[in-house]
Amino acid sequence: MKRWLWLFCLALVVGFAAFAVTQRCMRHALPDEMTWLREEFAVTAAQADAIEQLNTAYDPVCAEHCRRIGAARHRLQSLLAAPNTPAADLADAQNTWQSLCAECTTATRAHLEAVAAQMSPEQGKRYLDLVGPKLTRREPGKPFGLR
Amino acid sequence: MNDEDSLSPLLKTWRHQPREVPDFNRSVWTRVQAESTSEESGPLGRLLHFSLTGARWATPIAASLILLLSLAAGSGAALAYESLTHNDRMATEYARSIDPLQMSVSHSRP
Repeated sequence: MKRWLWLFCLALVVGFAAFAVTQRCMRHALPDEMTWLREEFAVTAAQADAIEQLNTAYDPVCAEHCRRIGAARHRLQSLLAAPNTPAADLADAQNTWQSLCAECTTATRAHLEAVAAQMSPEQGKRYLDLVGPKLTRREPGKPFGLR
Repeated sequence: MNDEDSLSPLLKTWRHQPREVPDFNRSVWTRVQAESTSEESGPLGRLLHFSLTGARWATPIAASLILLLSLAAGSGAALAYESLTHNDRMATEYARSIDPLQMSVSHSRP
C-alpha cells in the first residue's frame, strides 16, 4: 500500500514536471507578431506589406508617446512624493497625464483599426475583437502605471 | 530433599520410545497436499493466489506504465492548454508591442 502511495506521488510529480517543461518549450517557440498576423488572419503578401508599412509609420509615433509618458509619470511621481506640492501644479500634472493617456489610447486604437482595414472584413473584425480588449483600459482619474 | 535425590537418577534413566506409526511420511504429505488443494479450490483462494503470483512481475510494469501515462498526460495537457490560449497570448503580446501605455509600464518595472 505504501509503495502504491509513493508511486502515485511520483506520478503526480512526473505529470506536473512534464506539463511545466512542455509549456516552457512551447512559450519559447512563439512566433513573432507579424508571422502570427499572417497565419492567424490569412493575411496575403500585399496586405502584409501594407501592414508592415503601417507599423513602420507607427513606430516613431509610439516611441514619442512612450517618451512623453515616461516624462509625465516622472513629473507626477515627483510632485506626489514632495511634501508641499502646490495643488495647482499637481492638478496640472494630472491633467497632462490624463490628456496624454487619452491621446495614446486614441492613436493606438487608430493604428489597430488601420491594420484591421487592410484585412478582409471578417478577419479585420476578428482581429479587432481579439486585440482590442487587450489594449489598456484607462480608468478616469487614475494615473496608469503609478505605484 | 529425599524425593529430589531419588527423582534425579530416575529421570536420567528414563528414555522416551515413541510408537512407530506406519506410513508417517505418506500421511504428512497427503495432509499437506490436501491443505494446498483446499486453499486453491475456493474462489477467494484462487484470486489471492493469482494476484500474489501475478504481482511479482506485474508491479514493475504497472508502475512504469503509470509513470509513462502521467508523463504523457502532463505533456498532453500542456499542449492542449497552449493550443487553446495561443491566440489570446499572441494578442496580448501584440497589444503590448503597439500600446505605449503598456510598454511604459513594462519598462518602468524593475
